[in-house]
Amino acid sequence: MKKALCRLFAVILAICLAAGAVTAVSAAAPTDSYTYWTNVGTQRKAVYGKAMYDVSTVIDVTKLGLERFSKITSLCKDNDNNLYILDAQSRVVILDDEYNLIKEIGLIDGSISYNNAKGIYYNDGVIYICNTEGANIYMINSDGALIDTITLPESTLIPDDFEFKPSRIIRDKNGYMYVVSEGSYYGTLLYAPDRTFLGFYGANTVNASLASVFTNISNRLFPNVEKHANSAKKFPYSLVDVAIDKDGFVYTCNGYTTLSSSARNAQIRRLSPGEGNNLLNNKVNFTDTEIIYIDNFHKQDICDIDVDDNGFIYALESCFDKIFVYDSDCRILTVFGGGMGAGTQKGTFSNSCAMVTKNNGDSILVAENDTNNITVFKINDYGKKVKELDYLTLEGNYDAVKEGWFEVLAQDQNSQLAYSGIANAYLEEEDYDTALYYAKLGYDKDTYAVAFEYVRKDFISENFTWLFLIIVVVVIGAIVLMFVTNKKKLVFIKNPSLNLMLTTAIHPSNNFTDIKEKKLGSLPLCFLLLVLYYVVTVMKTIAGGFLFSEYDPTTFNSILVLVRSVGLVVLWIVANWLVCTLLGGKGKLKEITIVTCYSLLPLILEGIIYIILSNVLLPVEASFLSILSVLATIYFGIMLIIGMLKIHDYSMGKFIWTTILTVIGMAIIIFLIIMLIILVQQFGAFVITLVTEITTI
Amino acid sequence: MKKRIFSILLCLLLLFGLTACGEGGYTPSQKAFDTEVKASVPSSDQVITQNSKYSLEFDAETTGVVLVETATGTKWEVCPTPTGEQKFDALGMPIKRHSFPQSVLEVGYMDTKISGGGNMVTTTYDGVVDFGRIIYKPIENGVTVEYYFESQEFMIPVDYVLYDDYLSISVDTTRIQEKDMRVTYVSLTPFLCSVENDTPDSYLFIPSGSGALLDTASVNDQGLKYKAYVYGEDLTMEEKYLAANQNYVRLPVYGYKSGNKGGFAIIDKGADTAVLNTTSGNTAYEFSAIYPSFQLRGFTNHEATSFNSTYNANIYPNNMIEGTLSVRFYPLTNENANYNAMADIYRDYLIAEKGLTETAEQDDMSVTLIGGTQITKSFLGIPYKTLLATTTLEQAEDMVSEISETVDSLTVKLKGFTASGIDVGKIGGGYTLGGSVGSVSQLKELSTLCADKNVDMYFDYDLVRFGSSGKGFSTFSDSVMNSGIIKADQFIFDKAVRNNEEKLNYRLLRPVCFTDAVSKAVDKNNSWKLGGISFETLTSLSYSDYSDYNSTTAYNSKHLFGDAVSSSLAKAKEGGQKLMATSANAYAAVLADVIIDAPTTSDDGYAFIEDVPFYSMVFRGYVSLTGESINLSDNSKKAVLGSVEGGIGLNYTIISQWENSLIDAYYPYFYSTVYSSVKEDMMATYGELADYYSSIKDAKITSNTVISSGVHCTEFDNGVTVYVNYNDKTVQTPAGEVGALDYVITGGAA
Repeated sequence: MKKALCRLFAVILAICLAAGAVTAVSAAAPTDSYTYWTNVGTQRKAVYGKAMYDVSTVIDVTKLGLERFSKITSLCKDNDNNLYILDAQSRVVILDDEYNLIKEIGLIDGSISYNNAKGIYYNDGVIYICNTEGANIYMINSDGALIDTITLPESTLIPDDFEFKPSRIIRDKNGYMYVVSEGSYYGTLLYAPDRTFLGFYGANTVNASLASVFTNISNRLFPNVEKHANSAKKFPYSLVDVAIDKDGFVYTCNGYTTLSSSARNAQIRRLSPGEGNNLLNNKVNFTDTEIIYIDNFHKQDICDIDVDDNGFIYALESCFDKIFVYDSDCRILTVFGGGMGAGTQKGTFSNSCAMVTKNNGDSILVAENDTNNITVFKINDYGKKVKELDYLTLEGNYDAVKEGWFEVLAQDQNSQLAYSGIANAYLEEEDYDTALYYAKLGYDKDTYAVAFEYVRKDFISENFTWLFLIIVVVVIGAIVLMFVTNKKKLVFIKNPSLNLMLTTAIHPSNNFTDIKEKKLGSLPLCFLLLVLYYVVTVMKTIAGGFLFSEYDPTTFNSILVLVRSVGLVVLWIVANWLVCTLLGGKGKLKEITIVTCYSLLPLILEGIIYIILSNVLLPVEASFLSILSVLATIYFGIMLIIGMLKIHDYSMGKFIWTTILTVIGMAIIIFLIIMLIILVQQFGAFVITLVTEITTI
Repeated sequence: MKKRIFSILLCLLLLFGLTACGEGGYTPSQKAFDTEVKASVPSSDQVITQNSKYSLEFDAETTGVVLVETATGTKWEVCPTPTGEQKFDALGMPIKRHSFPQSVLEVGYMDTKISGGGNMVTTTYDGVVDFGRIIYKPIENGVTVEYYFESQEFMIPVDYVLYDDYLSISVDTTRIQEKDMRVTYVSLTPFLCSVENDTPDSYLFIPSGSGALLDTASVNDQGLKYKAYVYGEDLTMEEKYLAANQNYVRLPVYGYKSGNKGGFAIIDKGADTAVLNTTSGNTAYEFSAIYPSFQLRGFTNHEATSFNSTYNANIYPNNMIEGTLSVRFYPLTNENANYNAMADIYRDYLIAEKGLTETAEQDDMSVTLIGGTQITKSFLGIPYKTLLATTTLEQAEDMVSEISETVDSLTVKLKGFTASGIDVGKIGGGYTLGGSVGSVSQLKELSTLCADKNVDMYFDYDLVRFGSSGKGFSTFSDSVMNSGIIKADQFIFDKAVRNNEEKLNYRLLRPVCFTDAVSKAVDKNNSWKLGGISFETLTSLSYSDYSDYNSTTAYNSKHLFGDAVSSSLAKAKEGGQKLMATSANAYAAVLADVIIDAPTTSDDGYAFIEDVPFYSMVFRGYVSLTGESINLSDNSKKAVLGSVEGGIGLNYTIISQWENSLIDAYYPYFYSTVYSSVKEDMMATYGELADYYSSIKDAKITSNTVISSGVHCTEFDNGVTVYVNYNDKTVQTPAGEVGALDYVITGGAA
């Protein structure tokens, strides 16, 4: 009986559901979601996280009795959350919020086609269709009747060779229209509410490096056809999509860029009114940091963006078919989707092409051109919570978010936003120690700095008397010590070599003369200084203050520091000795070594001071450390120059000449070392191949 | 003189090396293509054989067979005929039907004369019916039809044998004839399990993960394609850049329903080498179909870079696998034409043929405790790897005590408690306890505690992946080779950026070493006085091995891999250990006492319309099952519903402590596993379900029904019925309203 009842229900409900275009999906997205942690080391780090969006439904219009799409080119929504789907074959399909069919619009007025139109937009009862191939934009009503047509305006501002291929359009609340023309690098075409063309707005700029400036000058001085052809690549990137937020700020995105990090940064921009300057962080790479490219055709390509009322930015990257979600501060919330051209599972794609968000970003719809379906990702409870808390955090409502962030953390210990949110909440509660703890866990240096400032201030005010007394005692003690030492000619360090080494920084000229003439230099002390220099260089990274450190134990390797520090010193010594031996320098290898190592004293001292101060200073006071570093380097340079002049008995001119040759010598030695390493590697590979061949007979 | 000796030695060395490039000494048993034999085939349809229920008839047009139910006249055709009228094109000419649905075989092949070989495909309709020869040889209760592909110069024999309840269709690869064209795969009767597009009340069934039903509505002339390796992808193939996580096909079966008719197929022999293909809504074919392709020659995907471009090519071995590949086809009618009957048939098959027995009581919950993971730490800036304990044995004791206070029937798995933690190290983690997780005496204490609390405890060993030699297994001599006869290096796949972590490579243990590896694990477990053993990787992964390419084709293209695992697992049982499997493939599932992480969702391909708990329906009541980890799933509510629908226990994966260095761990799911965070939800969920689990303790599933999209009903033999609603809206069911992402239990003690 129960079975029969079940079947009866099944039949009834199946009939009801047959009317829907939607395939119910019970599973979550088949790809792992992740975010990027920032401030961990020198590069951001991809970290798995709890999914914020699940695959909710897959819209297949054939289930609504319609013809399958030939190629979906664009999606948009209206104020009632109805979905507008633009098909490349002169067709617009309108679905309601539940994805039931409202209407299908074919040819405009029954006769005007718009094949290969690439953009659709709804505003105030009007549907705008960017008829890309036809170089115009049709404005139609919901019955498919033509209201008006927008064409390329007559204007002296438009270059003669400008090709109008409208692909996207938006209108702000004041009626200004922004039109993206495919392939144009002038920015969007800006129209006034009365359709007057106001000019181009929001063009990208070309990133010019010093090298590119020199190349440019060289190309102009010595032009040829090839150089001219290459120079075409230096145009700014053209825009591929445009979006607008509730405050009327326009967002643009570039599509395909080169692989250089500078080009991949600022792919999404929020434009200032008037100037069109980027108001978002210029340093943010909105796609993945590192992808090993399978071939030349797989490169990051943001093809669609959207912005919700809370400033969250949604970007569809169509090469790897992933969706990136950022908050208004450009902090990444989640990345999901995928398929990389071969997705056969719901939630993955083989050819994603368009995206739109609904319900203030709670639903993300992604169209796909191989199946010509639209996948609806719906935010889950966890995602809803994260977005709500993040928004409140950015709005400064820290007291309202603490418990929520703890709940988020319970579900996802990898949420950097949660640590940051909790740290901010404790900061608001003036519980600075706890704020420091969570800020450090989440590598939130900004919050840590604020909390640390309060902690430091409290510490100083609580211990001012003691600190003041200690400083006074130390200063007076030092003055007295100097006075007594000078008056009574006291010598604390009896060892003349050690004494000479320690006083070299004060009397470099005299001491280096003593090293040359009285042979007072000591190689063991040189070795000690080298070791100290290495240790201090390493400690600067691993023991430097949290606010100044980019230490990441997974990537940091002190052996490389050894090569960079001690290796460089040794290289200088060897190269200088080789050069100066040939060019009549009187310095011996031992003397060069001693002078070079003794000159490291200011750097060692600076390193020690840096380690101490970086643990007590704030980032705003970082200039002090920079000045200290510059001074130490200059002092090191001066000592080295004096020392080299003394031991080689060179004039300044000859010193400069031999120094240049030394640097060239260092480069040659490095080149030879690299060659040797490659040779050894190749020989090793040959041996391995040979062994493999023999053992697999 | 020295120079001469050196030159001679060098020459010998080179000769030695060059010999390795040539073909191996093994002589394949395949025959050469016979160009002389004459075709002999009946010119008209005729009865081949018959029994009390069915008759088997030869279809002269397609050269396939037709199974006919004698009582009703219902037919199951190898090459189905569309019911509609003949279609005509714009010029009024009849549209010729696509050849694929009219074919008995689809054959992939390569040309040895062409560099790279190419990947070419033919069918019996294209390659034999029009241009080839067919030889019809009656055998006992059936017939052998030999298909001679004239242009390609190979012959494939297909045996059709009628049994009481099923039709057996098989190919003996040792009887295949070849010349220069080498057969790479054979798709056997691709449209035997097919549904004419747009047929009401129809679906294809694929055991993807838990099991799924596929749509058969018309799509376009390409249709929606989906393919899945039976028992999972072949790791030795080294297919890079996997797009997404996959829910493997764990059971070698498939089927269809078309109105009141249906069919169910069990891949009886050669399942390891099979790939299940589906095509849904292809208007050119006019049918939606599911069929197996047997990979007779496995391959390795080789990537080469030249002039800044990357090329991919498949490297095939010389010899094809040797053995019989067979499918049992069970015709279904009326009330049996559904996946419930398919589950019954498959379970009966496993009992009769594979020794499936009722071995354990159903557990209410399983908990996987993760011992530790390798993380990078730094000493004076010098990085080193160390095992970070995420759960010590002492903490495990506390957690088990606490959970067992609430949960009636609990199973605990200790994973990553060996020296390498959860990461790849030596085989079996070196069969030693990780120093930072605790001592052997603590392990024994935990074991004693579990025994006192009536909790089954299983200690997991990774006997498949290893990154360093030790304990009698060498990465050099005991790791598998790919079809290019080089070591098949595996990489940790960074799904974030969809790329392999080149610096984290490891290898796979050769199947011939499984028994030895299992014996060592059993010995270790016995020495630790543990009664339960778990082999997560061994029971859930599969791969090929071409190491012995010059003496055998065993394990090529995964052939016989399941047998190797089965025989090694039998050793564990002989050693007195209770056996836990994880997401177990069929060959391991039948031997297991407990299966955790049993699939409760499918791979969710585009053509999939509903997930069904087929896996649970087969094994529930015979093996203790728990579902996918609730706290690791993206949507824990849906994961709970999956377990509830299948009547299987809850499963959680937990650790005791988290530190932010775990963001660098290569096991990606630490973020949602901390016990203190999971505990509350775990206990609350169990609290809600305790009565349900108690009421179905010894019950078996009698039926599972898809009431409507996302609304399912499972009935147990003691009268308990559960309705689950996967939708985010309330729905009406015979039991009344079921809330969004909720369930209602009726009958029995509920």
